[in-house]
Amino acid sequence: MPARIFVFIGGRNIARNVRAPVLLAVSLLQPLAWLALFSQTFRGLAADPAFRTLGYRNYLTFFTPSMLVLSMLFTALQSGMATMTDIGTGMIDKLLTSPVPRAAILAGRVWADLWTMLAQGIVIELAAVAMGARFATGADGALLLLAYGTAFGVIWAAVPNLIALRTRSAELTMALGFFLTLPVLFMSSAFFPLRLQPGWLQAIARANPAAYVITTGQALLNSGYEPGQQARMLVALAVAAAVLVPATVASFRSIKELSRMPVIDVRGLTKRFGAATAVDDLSFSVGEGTVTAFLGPNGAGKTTTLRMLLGLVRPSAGTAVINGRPYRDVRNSVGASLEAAGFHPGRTGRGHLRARALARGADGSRADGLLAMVDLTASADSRIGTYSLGMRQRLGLAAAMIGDPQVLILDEPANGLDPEGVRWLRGFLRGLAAEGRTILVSSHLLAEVAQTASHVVIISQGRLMTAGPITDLTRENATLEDLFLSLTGKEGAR
Amino acid sequence: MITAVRAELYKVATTRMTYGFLGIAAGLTAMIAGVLSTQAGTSSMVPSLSTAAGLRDIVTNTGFAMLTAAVFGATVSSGEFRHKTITDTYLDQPDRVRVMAAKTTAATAAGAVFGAVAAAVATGVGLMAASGKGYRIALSGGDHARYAAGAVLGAALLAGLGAVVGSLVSGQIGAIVTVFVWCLAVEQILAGVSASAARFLPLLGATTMAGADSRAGMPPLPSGIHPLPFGVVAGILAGILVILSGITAHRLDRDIT
Repeated sequence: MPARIFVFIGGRNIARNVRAPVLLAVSLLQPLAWLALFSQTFRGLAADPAFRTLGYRNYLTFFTPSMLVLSMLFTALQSGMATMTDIGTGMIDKLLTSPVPRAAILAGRVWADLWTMLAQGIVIELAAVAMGARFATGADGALLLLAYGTAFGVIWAAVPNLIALRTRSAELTMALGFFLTLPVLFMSSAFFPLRLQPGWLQAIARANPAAYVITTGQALLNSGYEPGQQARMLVALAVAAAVLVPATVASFRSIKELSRMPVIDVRGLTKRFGAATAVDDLSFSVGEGTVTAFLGPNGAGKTTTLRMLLGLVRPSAGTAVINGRPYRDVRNSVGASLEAAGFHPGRTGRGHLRARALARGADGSRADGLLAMVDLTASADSRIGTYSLGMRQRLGLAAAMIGDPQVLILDEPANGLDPEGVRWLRGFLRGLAAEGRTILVSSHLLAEVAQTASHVVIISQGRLMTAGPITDLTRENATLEDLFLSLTGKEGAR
Repeated sequence: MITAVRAELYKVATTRMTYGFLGIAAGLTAMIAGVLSTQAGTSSMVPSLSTAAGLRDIVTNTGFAMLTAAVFGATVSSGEFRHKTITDTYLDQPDRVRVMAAKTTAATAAGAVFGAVAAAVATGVGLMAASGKGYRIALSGGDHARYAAGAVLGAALLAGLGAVVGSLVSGQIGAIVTVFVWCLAVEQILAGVSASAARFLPLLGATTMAGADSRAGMPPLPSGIHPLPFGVVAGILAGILVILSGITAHRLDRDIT
C-alpha cells in the first residue's frame, strides 16, 4: 500500500510536469537548444593546442556531460519550486492530514525528479550522438554518465527543496536556488577545461561534486573509464548526499511535527471595537480529526473569533492560526461557511459555486457534484434570490467543500434550518467527521451539538469558559446544556 | 492573479446587472444620437450631417455610455459589500490588493465592451441618418476607427476607475453617487471655471479622446476646449487609475464583520 501511494504521488508530480507545456519545454527542448548553441559557439576552442593536449576530441564531447549536469541542476531547481507550489496550494497539508505515509510524500518527489532527470539525460545523450559525439567507452559509458548525472541531480535537488521547506517562500527558493546553482556550474569544467582555469578556481572545484561528475563524464566520452576519477566522484557524491539528504529529511520532519500540532490554535486572541471588547484574551485549540462545537450566548464573540481565524477581522492582540500558519497561507486546505446572506441573489446556485471554484483555482466542474452532495441539484439553475434560508445554508456548505478541505469552519450552519434540515446537517457533519476532517462549528443548538461534536469550546463575553472533550466536561453536569448554562451564567433562565 | 481575474470576469458575465447597464449605455447612445440626427442642419449652430463636423457630433456621442461604464465599474466592487459576498471573496483570495486589481481588470475589460457597443450604435445611427438624407459620408474610415478606439479605451479606463472608487467607498449607493456627482457636477463646475483644465478630467478627457470637440459631447464639453492628443489623455486616465488604486490599496485592510 505505501509503495502504491508513493508511486501515485510520484506519478502526480510527473504528470504535472508533462501537462504543463512550459515545464516540458524547459525540461526537454531547452537542453537541446543549449547543446547545439554551445557546441557551435565554442567549436573553435577545440582547435586550440592547449585544449587538444588535454585529450578532448571536440567541444561537443567536452560539453555533453556539462549539459547533462546543467539540466539536472535546473530540474533540481524546478523540484524546489514544485515543492513550494505544493506548500502554497495546501497540497502538502492535504497529504499530511490524510492517511498517507509521510515518507511517501518525500519519496514521491524524489521519484518524479528521478524520472524527469533520466528522460532529460537520455534526450541529451541521444542528441549529442546525433550531432556526432561518440563515447570512447561505448554504450556502457553512456549509461554510466546517465546514472552518475541523475544521481547527482537527485542529490542536488535536496538543496532547493531544503530552501523551500525552510523559507516557505517561492521568491527565496528561486533566488537562493540560482545563487547556489550558477557557481556550482561555473566553478567546474562545465564550459572551460578546469586545468586551464586559475589555481584558486581549481581548488574550489575540488569541493564541488558537479565538477567531479562533469570531469568523469568528459573522461567517459573522450578517453576511458579512469577508475580513480570515478572513485573520487563517487566519494564526492556520497559526501554531498550525506550532508544534503539528512538536512532535507529533517526539514520535512519539521513539517510532520507541525501536523501533530493542533490544527487550529488560538492564543491570547483579543478584539476591541472602540471601547467594547468583543473577544478578550481567548485561547483554545482544536485537534486533528475532531468535531469541535464552538458555543456561547448571542454576542459572546463567536463570529468575531471565527472571522479573526479566517483573516477577515484584524485582531487587536493575539494570534489565530491553522496548521501553524495564518489562514491566507493555508486557504486551500480550509473551507468555511460564515453567513447565509452572502450570496448574489441574481446568480444561480451552480453559477455561485463555479465562481467560487474559479476564485480558488479549483475545478469548476465540481459544482454539480457539490450541489448533489447538499441535495440542491433540482435548484441548481434557480436564482439564489428564490432560495429559502435553509437552501442557502446548504449552498454555503457546498461552497465550503469546493477545495475538498481537511479543515472546516462553520458559523451557525443550523440557523434557519427546519427540523428536516437540522437532521440533514447532522448527517452531513457526521459524514465529514467520519472522513477524518477537522471541523470547528459554532452553534446554539446544544442538543444537536451533543449528538455530533466530540469536543466543545464554550465562551461568554469574549472569554473562554471551558474547553475539552464533551464526555470529560459533562461528567459532573448531567448534560451539555447544564454545563453551558452554568458556565455562561444563564442558569436562572431555565 | 490570472485565477482572480478569471473569477471576476465570470462574476461580471453571470450578473444580470451587467447586461442591464450595457442596455442602458446602448439605449442612451442610440436615443441621443437619434435626437441629434434629427436636429442636424436645422440651424446655423448645428452643422448638417453632410459635413464632417455634423456627422462627427453624432458618431462621437459616446460620453453617457462612458459614464454608464464608470457607474457599472463602481457596482462591480461595491456590489460585493451590498450583497455581503465580499466575505466569500476574501476567503477565496485573502490578498485584498489582488482582489481589487482583479475587479479593476474585469471592470476595465467589460468597460471596453461598453465603449465598443456605444461606438457601434452611435456610428450606425449617424451613418444611417446621413445616408437616409442622401449625403455622402464626410468622415473617413480612419476617423471612425479613431473615434471608436477612443470610446473603447475611454469607457474601459472609466469602468476601471469606477471599480476602484467602488472598492474605496464600499457602500454601493455611496459609490454610485460619488461617480455621478464627480462626472456630472464636479467636472462640469471645474470645466466651467477653466476650459483647459477640463481636458485633464476623467470623463471630459475621455470624451475628447473619443473625438468630441468643444461644440458638442454628451455630457457637453465647455466651449474653447482644445483636446489633448489621444495618447496623452489615455496616459492621464491610466495615471489617475494607478494613483487612485494605490491610495485605495492602503485602505483595504478594514474589518469585514
